[in-house]
Amino acid sequence: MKQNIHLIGNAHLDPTWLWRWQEGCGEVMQTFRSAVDRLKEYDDFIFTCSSACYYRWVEEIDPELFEEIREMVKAGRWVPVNGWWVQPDCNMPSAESFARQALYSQLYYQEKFGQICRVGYNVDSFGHNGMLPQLLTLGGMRCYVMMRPGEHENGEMPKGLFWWDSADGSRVLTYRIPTGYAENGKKSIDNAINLLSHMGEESNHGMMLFYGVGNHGGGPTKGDIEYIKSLMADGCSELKFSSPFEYFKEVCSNGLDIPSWSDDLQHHASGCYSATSLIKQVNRKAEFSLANAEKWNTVACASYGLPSSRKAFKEAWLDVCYNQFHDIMCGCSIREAYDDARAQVESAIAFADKEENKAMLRITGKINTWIEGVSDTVFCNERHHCENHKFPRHIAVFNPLSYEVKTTVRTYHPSKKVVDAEGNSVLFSNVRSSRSNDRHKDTVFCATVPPMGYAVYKLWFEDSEIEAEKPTTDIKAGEYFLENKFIKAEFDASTGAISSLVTKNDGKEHICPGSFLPTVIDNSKPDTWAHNIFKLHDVIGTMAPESIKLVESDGARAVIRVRHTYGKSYLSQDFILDSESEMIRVKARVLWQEPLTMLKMPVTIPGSNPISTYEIPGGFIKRPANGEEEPALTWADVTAEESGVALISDSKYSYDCPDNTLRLTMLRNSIFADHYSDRPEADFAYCDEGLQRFEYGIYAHSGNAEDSGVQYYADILNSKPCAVPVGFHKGTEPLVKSFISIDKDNIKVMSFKTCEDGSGDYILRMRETAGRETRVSVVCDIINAGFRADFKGQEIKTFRIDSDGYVKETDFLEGIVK
Amino acid sequence: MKGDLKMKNKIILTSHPMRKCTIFPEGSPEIPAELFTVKNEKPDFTGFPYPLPNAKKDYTIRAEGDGVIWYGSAKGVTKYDPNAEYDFDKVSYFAADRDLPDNNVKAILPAGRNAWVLTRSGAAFIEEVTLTGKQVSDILLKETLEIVDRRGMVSQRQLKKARDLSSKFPFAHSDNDGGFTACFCMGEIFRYAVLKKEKGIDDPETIQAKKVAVKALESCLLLCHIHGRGDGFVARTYVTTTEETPDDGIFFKRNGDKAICVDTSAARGRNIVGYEINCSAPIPERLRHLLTDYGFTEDDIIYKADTSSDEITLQMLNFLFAHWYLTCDDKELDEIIKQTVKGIADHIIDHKFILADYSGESTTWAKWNEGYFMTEDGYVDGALNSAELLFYLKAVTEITGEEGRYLETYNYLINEKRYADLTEKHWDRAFQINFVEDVNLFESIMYGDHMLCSASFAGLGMLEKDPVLLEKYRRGYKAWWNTSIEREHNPGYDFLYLLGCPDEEINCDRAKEWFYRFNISRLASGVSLVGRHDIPVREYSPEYKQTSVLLPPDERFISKYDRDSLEYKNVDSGGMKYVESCYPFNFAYWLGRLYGFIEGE
Repeated sequence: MKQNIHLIGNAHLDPTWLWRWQEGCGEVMQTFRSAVDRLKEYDDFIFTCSSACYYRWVEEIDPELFEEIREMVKAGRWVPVNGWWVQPDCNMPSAESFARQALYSQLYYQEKFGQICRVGYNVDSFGHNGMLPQLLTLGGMRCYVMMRPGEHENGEMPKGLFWWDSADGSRVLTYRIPTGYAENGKKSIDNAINLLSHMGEESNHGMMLFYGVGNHGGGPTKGDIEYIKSLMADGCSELKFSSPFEYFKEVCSNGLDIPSWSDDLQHHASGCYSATSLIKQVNRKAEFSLANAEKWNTVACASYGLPSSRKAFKEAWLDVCYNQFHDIMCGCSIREAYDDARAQVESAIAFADKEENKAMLRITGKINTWIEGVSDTVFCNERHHCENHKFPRHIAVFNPLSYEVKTTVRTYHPSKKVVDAEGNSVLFSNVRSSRSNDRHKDTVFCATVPPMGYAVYKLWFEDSEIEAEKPTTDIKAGEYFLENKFIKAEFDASTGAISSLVTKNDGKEHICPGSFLPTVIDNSKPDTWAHNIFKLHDVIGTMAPESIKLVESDGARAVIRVRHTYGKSYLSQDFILDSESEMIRVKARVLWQEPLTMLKMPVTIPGSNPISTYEIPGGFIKRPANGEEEPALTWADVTAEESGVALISDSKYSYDCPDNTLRLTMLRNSIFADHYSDRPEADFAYCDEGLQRFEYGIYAHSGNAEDSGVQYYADILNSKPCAVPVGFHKGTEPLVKSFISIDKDNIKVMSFKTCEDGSGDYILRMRETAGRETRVSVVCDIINAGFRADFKGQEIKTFRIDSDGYVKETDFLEGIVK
Repeated sequence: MKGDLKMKNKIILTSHPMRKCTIFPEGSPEIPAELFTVKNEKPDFTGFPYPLPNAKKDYTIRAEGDGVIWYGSAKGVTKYDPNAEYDFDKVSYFAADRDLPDNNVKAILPAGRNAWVLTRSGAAFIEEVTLTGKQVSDILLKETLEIVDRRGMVSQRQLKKARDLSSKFPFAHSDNDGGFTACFCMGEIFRYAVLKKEKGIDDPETIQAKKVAVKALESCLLLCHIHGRGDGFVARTYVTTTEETPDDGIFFKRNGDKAICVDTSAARGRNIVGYEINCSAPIPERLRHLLTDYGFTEDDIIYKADTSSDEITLQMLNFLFAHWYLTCDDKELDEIIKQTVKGIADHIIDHKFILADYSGESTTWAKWNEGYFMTEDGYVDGALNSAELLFYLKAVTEITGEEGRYLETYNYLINEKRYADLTEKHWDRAFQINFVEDVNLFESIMYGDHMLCSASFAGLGMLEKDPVLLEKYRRGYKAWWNTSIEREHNPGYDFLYLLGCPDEEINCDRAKEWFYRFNISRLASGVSLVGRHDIPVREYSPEYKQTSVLLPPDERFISKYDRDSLEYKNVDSGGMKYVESCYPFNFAYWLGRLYGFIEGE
């Protein structure tokens, strides 16, 4: 039986890709003008368009045109879809970013058009993470349109229409576009109609045909509309001008039994998880910086009278949201586009830093750090905050995470003694600073900081008039090994690689030979996207060890520095083992000058039937250890026979796992926007050429990855506690304080902010990280709140708390949109 | 399947302090004089680590007892037990109307681990009573038999005055009497089976348990014959001429060989008042005593006719368990079960998969045919109803040992009509309908369906041996479980789920909480859940709200299994003037004991 074909007139708009955003903005203006004209010319034509960002551009630049669009939306002729700021990459933004994509966009749509978008729509994004059903649903969308991967890339996924389920139990009705998102011209439209007719008859439900000139905008042409109308007039009654929402409504009304899918939707362009490290790094930094700064702004706003910076945070988040657009975040735009992206995202980071500092200083100003006698001091070196010989200086360490953190903290002067708030000596090291003048030494000390709170430490300057005191350390280190109470790592002098990694509680060896040898891979065949190439395995060598040296082995930590070289490039890595850490933190500095290559850092574990696990936005996923390049957020893991190793990163998103070997893709040096490797002779710019600094972590564990401490260490690596000097003053606050108490380690606070409606209500968003049902108790006295909640495994919940501490569970839209 | 399951899900129960609250009106002589003079201090909650039911600023009273601290406010009493073994016992809330005369607390006088509470309109004594699960079950059964039982029928008993047991109406019926009595009956069958195994068949307690179970079973069977139609029909419930005929459905009054439709709103709506149908088939002699013992004859019967699939499903599971565990040494009753289930199955098959009412047309909600599944109502129902019908057919073959037309029909429905495939489709279909109607999935759930789903899929899971079919049924069951049943953490559902899907796991900690925090009386009296400070509210519509956390049973309204356990309201839809039956506890407890999910008492 013939099924309806819903004709979705659209214009795929890439606001940045092979052009900069300014051109993309112009492209939006022209396309929207053209679409309004077509709507006026053809009474039955319907135009569908995503991305709140574009609407705001038009509103700001051409209010008259915007008014015309509003009228068309009211009449149901112009259909906004995708309640997000842009069509982002759907693998690499964090869950909080997806929340912000929805929050700001849906509220914008509600304000301007009196309705939110019910349909998610990311027709060009290069793969879709397995948590999207939850992330869409929480953003008000119950249906989804996507296209990639196509059937040639993933033939197991259902064709056309299917239920898509995420691990928390959320579900969206999803349509995979079987043709293209921009059919135009008679031949293309005819072909699409033929294919969709056939598929409709086979599946017994209607299909959608997306037509209109796209990528650089454009939209349906007069010619296309006329042609479609002629087909309709010629008896093609199954064709109807429509919108995605109408399509989903029709298929649901018809009562269908359709297949379901409960995995992520991969792979399309696997090179995109690693291409152009710059954008990945600033995105990660911005996400954590904004979320953390916002927490402190909210704390200072709730308790210390600091005005809320909610509106400014919104604008900063929107800069980040824009640059999560798939062609930007995926590293496949032109080089110039990344100058723009860096400027925008780094401005968000700078804003976050300022807000964080402001809030922390507001809070520390209330801490009682008074020491009797400090105001009577006579000599300048007694008043000098940093080089005071008579009194300790106070350092408040802030922890933005919702669990207690034990970690090391760096301050920029050497010390003789460090004590905690109760006067107990703590471990510290005076370590080489990054400067060459002065005494060349910084202090690194071990701090324990309560959840979303601070702890004040007292540091005596190196020349203080006190007895030096240092607790006994359990750190041991030698020329080729690092050891604390948790782990011991040994290095192979001949390769510079870690050759043994043993957890001391069970004596288990976690790695096999060949691990941690920086491996160089030929990247000349794949284009920037790595179209049609899913495994990046062409090893052309390993980096040669140049030096290995124990550079610190005192008190709070030990460090071994290893330097490798390859061609004109080098990789310098500081392997840092803190006294209280089960993770080895690696500070990497790499100067890469090898065109069309990749660099991977492998770890191989013993055992059979390995399982690889990856953090994805709002959860985790297990994928086959088949060696395909995989996207992940802050960590990836390989586990076999109840023990495994995770690689944690502060800026990378790409891994592969051939059998027992997990490999972090450190860089991938493609030509910018090298589409299908059509490479004329030219002096190309390469997207990972030059100097990079980043950190990664090595974490060995027993049991499942998600149930280990991997998320804790991933959060610490990405959210380092912040040390703030505090003066000597009287105050009302204690030396140690937590602003929130959460009684389960697997429930993590994603954001703490004020509500977007300006009511003064607070928003607290949390998620479950270990994949198990959990009841949590939350106490947050600064907003009079104390409540309990049940979480399903990998569930995200958003709570809205009023001024009396009464709590509503809401979603990303904060209860503003009903 | 009788026992012998490999269990990785075990709940170890020991005796546990349960709450008991006695309310005293103002001026009662039992109230101690010190309660009026005690000077309570003001609480300081600095650093208090747990959420509290009231806002911290609302508390005005602090009183320290033996290892427990009591806090009072104008919104009730909070007990803090810092050394409690379980997290769920650390902070407990006591409030009107169930625990206190009113919420305005004036003073608290600790007495060991108990406390007297003075409120504006009276006083309450809050006690810890340490009981085993079995003791709780015994207490609840006693209350049910004394207050709720109606000639073996057990659903609920209405009161004229809230909280006053002496004000009970002399009669009571519920729309789903048959189904609820079946649930009660199963609990008591399980009890009997456990006691028989542990104490022996001649132990007085075993004998008493059998007596209770048999009476309940006979009452259920009576509903299958009381109408005298002789065609396998099942009555929904019945009243006698000494009781008021409720105006909530279609009733027929027996009179000789004819039964006449009674004048009710529903009957008038269908224009069938006075309609006559045959009722000449005899009630089996073994069951008749449930009438004659109370001085009634057939002519005193007014039965309710518009029976739904709910009754059939729950009765069928009840008859299956009865056949396995109760009537193995009562051949007469076992034969009645066999004839009854055959009658039901034949009726459904002969009437092309409906339960036929007086006119030969289907009753409103007992339709298992393909045609119904194509209708708007039947589209979503189709998945559950197909599982129900397949379960009936499997149950009949198991109980009677006869395959014949039952197996033939079973295979026909699976192979020709794809009923087994359909059992998986409930949530797919519900989602579609909800999308079209723009309502939230959880707002549209019929919570009464949870027991029907559990009964049907557990039954199929136990009886089907074909691995392909089993896999389908289990997928269907798991979809229900994951979407809406698991979160209730009702061990009655948990244990049925494990019978249907033995390889799955349940949350034993939450099940333990359910047993340890159950009310030791089923007197419905309302709680003060709305407005609690420690419970987030999820608002689907102004009329329908849920809590974000499942409260322990003793802090939420009393209901059967057919209500949303997360619903944000103080009083069950039954209101405050009634006493519920004990089946919610006893069904779960004894099922767990019988199948080894519970260890200890």
